Amino acid sequence: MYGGAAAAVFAPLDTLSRAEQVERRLTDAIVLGLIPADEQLPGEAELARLLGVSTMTVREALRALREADLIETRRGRHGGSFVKESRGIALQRIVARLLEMSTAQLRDLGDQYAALSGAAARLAARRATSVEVARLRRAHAEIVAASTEGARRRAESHLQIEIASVAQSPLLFRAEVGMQAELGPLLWLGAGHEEVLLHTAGLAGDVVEAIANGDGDKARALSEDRVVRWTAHLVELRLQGLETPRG
Amino acid sequence: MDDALAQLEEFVESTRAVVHEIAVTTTAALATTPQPRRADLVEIEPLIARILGEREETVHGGGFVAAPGLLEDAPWWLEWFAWDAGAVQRLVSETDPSGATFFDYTYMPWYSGPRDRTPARALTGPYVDYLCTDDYTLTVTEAVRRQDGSFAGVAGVDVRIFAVEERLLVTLRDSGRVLVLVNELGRVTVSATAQLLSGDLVEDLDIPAMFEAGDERLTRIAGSELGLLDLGPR
Repeated sequence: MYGGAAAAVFAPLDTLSRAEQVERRLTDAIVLGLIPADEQLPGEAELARLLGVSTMTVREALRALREADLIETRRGRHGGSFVKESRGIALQRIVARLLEMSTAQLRDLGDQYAALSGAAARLAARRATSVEVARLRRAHAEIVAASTEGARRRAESHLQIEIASVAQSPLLFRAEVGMQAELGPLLWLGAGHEEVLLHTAGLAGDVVEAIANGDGDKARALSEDRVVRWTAHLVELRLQGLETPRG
Repeated sequence: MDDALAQLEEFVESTRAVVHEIAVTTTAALATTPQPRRADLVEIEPLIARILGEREETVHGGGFVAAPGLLEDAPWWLEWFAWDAGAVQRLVSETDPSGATFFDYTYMPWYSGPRDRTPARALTGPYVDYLCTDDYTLTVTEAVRRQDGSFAGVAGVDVRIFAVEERLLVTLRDSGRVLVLVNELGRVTVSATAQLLSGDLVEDLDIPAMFEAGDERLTRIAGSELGLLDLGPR
């Protein structure tokens, strides 16, 4: 069913309202397309085990997702919770989350992610073999070939994951997966815009070629630049969402 | 040096033996029916559970990865199990090609190696295994064939690099030489020198060419993709 980066969606949660966290995690996964429409979610007991929460908590979160029209519950032998085709609704929720954040918070998250992806790109340039370069080029080709905004976001996410894995550092890799799980929906909201995508897709090709040439400094600078542009677009979206005060 | 070689050969051979056991079980399971389904692979799980129990310190996961189209009810399938939170768990992965996180494993060297090469096996890594463990891993695989000889997929196990290192480090350190375990691409697998660490590429020697030429400084381990590089006295 789900694997790789998506597995982070089902990683154990920390404190605060657990049902809300489960709800947010699953909302993020649906928006990101990690769990596509029509996909069946694991059963309540299985979800509870994967997320490390009680089945009561899972039930509460699923109820909220159902009310938000993100999933539907089918009865019968092949019954269970299924993801509904509801990207639009899910996206609104992510935008709502964006509007709750300060520009300073967004900048800070961008800084952290830029540092992470820059460091991973630099190490990848030093440690990539020809086999891995070929894999990175395939991941870049996915970005170029992607025909929908969702497909492009997923392809961008995939390339980031590949670069982190080529860096040969399990800790950096887990940090990348962790950041994508936490931040992914916001990040790809910033990356998903047509204009930003066209530009950063070009940059992605340059990052891959810098890694192929073993030019770590260039790979790092370009990789950071990609994240800076995504963040800048997120801040713009955040500012557009501000209501003008009356009077 | 000899101690290190003996230890490494034992490690490679014993790991291959375990993989072969999985291959034999899988071959037998596939032979029971002309059109195998997922349910026909049911014997793999207890076998992997036993192997993981017996070799907990080194083997982290294992199973069978089906060739696309082999199984009637799952065109892409990984019958794979691994230690997770103290229990043997089934690997949950996207096997629907239209799914967002679907991943075409036929490109992976642990899959294509046994399919395309003779002998039909591979020792892949070290690499960050993002399909299963998210850890720094060596994967040992062997081709599984159907009765008509057609390729059916690979049987394999994942080994944690850090477990291999733990067994080997003292031997390397006390050998009196600077010994580095490298793979065919020149990637350091285990070393007892801070100048070259696991994951680094050996830069000043052309390791692939040395493997090819049978360079005397490099001893291939049991015909595998790993070799022990001797960089002189400590």
